[in-house]
Amino acid sequence: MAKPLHPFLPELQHDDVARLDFVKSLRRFLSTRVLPGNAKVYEQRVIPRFRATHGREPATRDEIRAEMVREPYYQLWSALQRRSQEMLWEAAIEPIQRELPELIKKANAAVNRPDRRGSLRLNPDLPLPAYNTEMDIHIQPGGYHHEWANDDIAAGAIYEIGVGMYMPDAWGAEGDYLGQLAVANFRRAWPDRKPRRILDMGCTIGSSTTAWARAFPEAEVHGIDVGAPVLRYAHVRSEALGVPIHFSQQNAEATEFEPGSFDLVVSQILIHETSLRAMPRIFAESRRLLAPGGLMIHMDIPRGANPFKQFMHDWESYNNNEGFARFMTGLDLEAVAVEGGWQKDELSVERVIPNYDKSQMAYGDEYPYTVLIGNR
Amino acid sequence: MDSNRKTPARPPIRVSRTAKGQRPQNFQDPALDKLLGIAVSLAGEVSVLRDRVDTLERLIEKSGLFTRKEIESFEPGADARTERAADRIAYIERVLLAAHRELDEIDSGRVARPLDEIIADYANRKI
Ligand SMILES: C[S@@+](CC[C@H](N)C(=O)[O-])C[C@H]1O[C@@H](n2cnc3c(N)ncnc32)[C@H](O)[C@@H]1O
Repeated sequence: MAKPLHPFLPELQHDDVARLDFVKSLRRFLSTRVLPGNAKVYEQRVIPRFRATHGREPATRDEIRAEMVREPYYQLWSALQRRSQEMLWEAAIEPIQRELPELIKKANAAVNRPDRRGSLRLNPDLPLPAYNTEMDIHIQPGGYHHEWANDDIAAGAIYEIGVGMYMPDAWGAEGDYLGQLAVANFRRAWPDRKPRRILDMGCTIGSSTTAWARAFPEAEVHGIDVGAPVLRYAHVRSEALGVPIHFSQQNAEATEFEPGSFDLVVSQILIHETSLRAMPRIFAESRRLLAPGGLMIHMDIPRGANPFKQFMHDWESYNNNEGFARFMTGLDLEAVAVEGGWQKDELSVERVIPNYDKSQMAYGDEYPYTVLIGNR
Repeated sequence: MDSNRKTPARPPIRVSRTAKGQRPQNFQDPALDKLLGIAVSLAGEVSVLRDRVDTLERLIEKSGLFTRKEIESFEPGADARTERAADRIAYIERVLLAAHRELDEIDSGRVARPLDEIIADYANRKI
């Protein structure tokens, strides 16, 4: 099989690839051929039935949900979608578990090597936020934080293989598409800016951090996360890819960095996995870390333009352990940032539309990302 | 065929396949959720076998002779990958026929009345 991108991914055997391919095909089939039927069932069955009893159409995503979960068509789609998500992780874990002792040994030999260009700093005493530990987010077994062995990196490898399948082929060979999108958006808005110190919050395995570091090779780039196994993996991975990044285990709500020590603070799809309590703190911390004139750019997932699509997006909250994601719908991000100490006139919200193959996306709409920008 | 021959029965480090968090129940009877899960797993394993057979056939065609090692390192070219992806969609469509059955009714506008009603009509000589 093709050589893995770097030495910390397992070698895939014939049947590993076949299992991963099956899950990819199943998910593509579900999103292109089965999912669209939900809208038909809604229009042709649910709306008329609801109208007959209420004299009007369902008005909110929750009203729609209450009806749709009774529809056999929706039930079957939902059960299959859930199963496909489980199998995605199962297929990823299979080869990783097989090679894990070897992968951990290799990683241990690579951590903080003398010839490194970036660094890794872990803090075993850092408490994990409840929103990370209550459920394993998007049902990745063990989440971002669980360690199955000493010095574990499994969560990182599982994430890298798994996310590559969540929207197959959408993220690019190095999985850095989101980072590239954020960088392109930044360059469009501020063509002359060359940030010197960049912080990526909730960096996981550093896929997007890498895009920032590649775009600004002069800058000192930091990535923080709360999960130790993903950070270990991020460190050895980015060294193997030749991209210097400083990773540390810190909570984005309150970091150890000096005030004013960055001129760019970013995150990619971090905030929908936090909480209403954490968000203002994260925005406040971003502000504290920025030097005057610095920029905060938090990019997050789309939530659907009408109640039906919002209901479909909410599937993630009820079936994919994304408990908080549904609270992002209609949320006034600027107001949350004001709660975190920003001035209203320093803030703006933009939409960024990625150009990847729409047939790969579970909800099939144009999929604009929301970007909260704070200009200090 | 043991397609997992390199996975030791008791791996030195076990990684759980279960995520923390309540599993949603989609059907009235939770057993149905489980049964569907098993059915999809089986479909997946059949798909794995299909790919393996495809590999075998292509290798045979190529050389007339092959070893197991060749299978493990077989690299499908771009054409083979595209064909496989299309074949796989067709295969999934066959296995998941149930997903479409209901929609067929809506799409064709041929919505049948409840069977009880029809039988009652027979009984009452309405048809
Ligand atoms: C969806 S992932 C982010 C993906 C990544 N930014 C990328 O672009 O590939 C969310 C990450 O945020 C981390 N995280 C959640 N809350 C955090 C917090 N308060 N501080 C730091 N990291 C956090 C999680 O551990 C997880 O790794």
